[in-house]
Amino acid sequence: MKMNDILNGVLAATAGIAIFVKARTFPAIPGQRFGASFFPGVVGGTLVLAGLVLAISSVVRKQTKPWLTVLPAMRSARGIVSFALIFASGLFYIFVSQYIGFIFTIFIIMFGLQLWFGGTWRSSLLAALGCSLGFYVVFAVVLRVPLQDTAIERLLF
Amino acid sequence: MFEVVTSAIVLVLEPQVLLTILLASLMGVVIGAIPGLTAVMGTALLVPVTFYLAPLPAIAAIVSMTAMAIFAGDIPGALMRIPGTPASAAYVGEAYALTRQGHPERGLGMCMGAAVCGGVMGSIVLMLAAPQLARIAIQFSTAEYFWLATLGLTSAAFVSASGPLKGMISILIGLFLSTIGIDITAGQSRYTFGIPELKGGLSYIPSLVGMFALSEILRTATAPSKSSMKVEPVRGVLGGLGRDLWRWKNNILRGGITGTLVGALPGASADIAAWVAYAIGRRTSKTPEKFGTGHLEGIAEAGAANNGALSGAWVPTLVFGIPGDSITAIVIGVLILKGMEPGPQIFLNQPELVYAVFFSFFIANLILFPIGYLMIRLSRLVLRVPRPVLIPMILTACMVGSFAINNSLFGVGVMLAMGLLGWFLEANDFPTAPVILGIVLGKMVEFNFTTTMIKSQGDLTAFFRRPIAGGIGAVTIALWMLQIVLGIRKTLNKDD
Repeated sequence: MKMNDILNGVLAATAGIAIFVKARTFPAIPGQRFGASFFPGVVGGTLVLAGLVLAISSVVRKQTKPWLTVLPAMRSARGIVSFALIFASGLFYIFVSQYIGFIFTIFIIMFGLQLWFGGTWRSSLLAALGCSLGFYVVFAVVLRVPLQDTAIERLLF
Repeated sequence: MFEVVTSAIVLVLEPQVLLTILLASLMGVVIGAIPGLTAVMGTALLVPVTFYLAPLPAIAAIVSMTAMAIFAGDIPGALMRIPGTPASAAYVGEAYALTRQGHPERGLGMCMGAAVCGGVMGSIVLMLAAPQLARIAIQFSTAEYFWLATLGLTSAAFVSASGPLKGMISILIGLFLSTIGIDITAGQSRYTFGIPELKGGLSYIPSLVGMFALSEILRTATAPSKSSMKVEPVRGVLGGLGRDLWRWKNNILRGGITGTLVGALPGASADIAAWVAYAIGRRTSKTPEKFGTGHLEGIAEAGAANNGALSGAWVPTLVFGIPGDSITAIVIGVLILKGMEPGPQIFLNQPELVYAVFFSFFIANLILFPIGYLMIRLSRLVLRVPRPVLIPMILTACMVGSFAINNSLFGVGVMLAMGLLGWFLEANDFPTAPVILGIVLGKMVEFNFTTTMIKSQGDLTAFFRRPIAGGIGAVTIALWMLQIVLGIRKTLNKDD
């Protein structure tokens, strides 16, 4: 989603207000003028100012861009699904890998994404298998990263 | 001094270091040659691997990977008119025009030769300038560091292609993100919303991987896939290269210097250096009308500048702990992890290691020649890596790298969130590099400001009492005033 600079400025200013208001709630230290709230307060305040300047200067320049534009890449169902699949893969790894293990999780992600992006069944299967095992060997076996282990990993390595 | 240099040479010539440089160079050449994969993304993906390396090979790996990636970005640019990295964009038209004329070998040869020369020149400047600056910086107090960090943020905002205001908003987002976690002066939790993993602050590496690599994956994945283009084999790269390099030696020399100076400016990266050098080359050329028609002069100047900028960016990084570009913003995290805290003290405490890093720049730039030559010959194979394999592979590398830093799945979540933020910002023409600079410099700005104020009991003149602090402060304020005046004038002129 692409917004014009009036909306961008308003969004930045709103974020600045939220940062500033939250910063005011940080407790002060007795006898200390510059506590936990000082720096985020300055950042929030400056963000409000910068956002307003962006919005106002766009109004003064009589910006003619539409308020909201859908990005060209997101105008097709394929673009939206591709975007969602990348995120879904990340969430799948976070929530599922500890139950089914690293190798199987990555195999599913790689195989599914390759098929979606135009790979053939055979090449996707081979690449998914090779990459899931390859990543496990490099990170878990060689570099000793404690990746998510289940029976598959323990059986294979 | 002689002993330090000798020890550094011995360190850098160890087989483990040389092998790491070679492997990282091969990684860099592949990453750079594949359109859509940038040197910054390569660095972010390399970081998890560097955790398991000794300090010198870890840093040398990043140095070689980036030098190689910046050059390799020229290959698809010259052959397919698709710059492999943004640093090649300035002269892609020039190199492609030579290919269309049937001389891809001349364009690519000049890209390679200029990259080697620019990189070596930048390395020499880094080696000579950094220790001298460190001698001055050793006397710096918190006021000088506050102004230096502020000047760094200022220049990052002002060199932003989207304009200073959007650059400034990006920096402020980064500064805000740097405040998440336990406050350094009062020990208060800020913006953690009860999430224990956020108490230590927003994890730096997953943030970088998300901001640079995931956002790029999102863009590539949603872009319509291009039909594969036919790439002709390139032969005879070395024939006539010496003659071409000699003919355009002044451009290469000036490009290398321009690149190194631009690279040393915080926020100004290799791509800006290449654009600036290309513009200088055109303006000073005796035949400016030939630019854009396949003229080697522009390639020589800009090709030397982008590799020179890589070394230049290390000067403020090593001496002051202020990153010169997105790559060195990542490097700072690696340096700290490896016990090489950037700043002038590093030149006193670990001089052998610092000089060994300098020598790794020379090696990385010199082996660029044989590996670059090999890559040009093999370019047909690498440019055909299928997109269906590439996207999931890079995504997996991002997820594993973000997990590996703290062995926590929370890091993968941070990477996803930062990737979404990076994608949204870029879609709305906000630059992402200043966000990272804000995250890196935020704690430095806050700590030095607060410490100075506590020391002076709230007296703001403490920031101007020392001559260097006063000087840098005056320059920073003058830059802001100038920008405000220019902004008002621009708005009023458009209104008329």
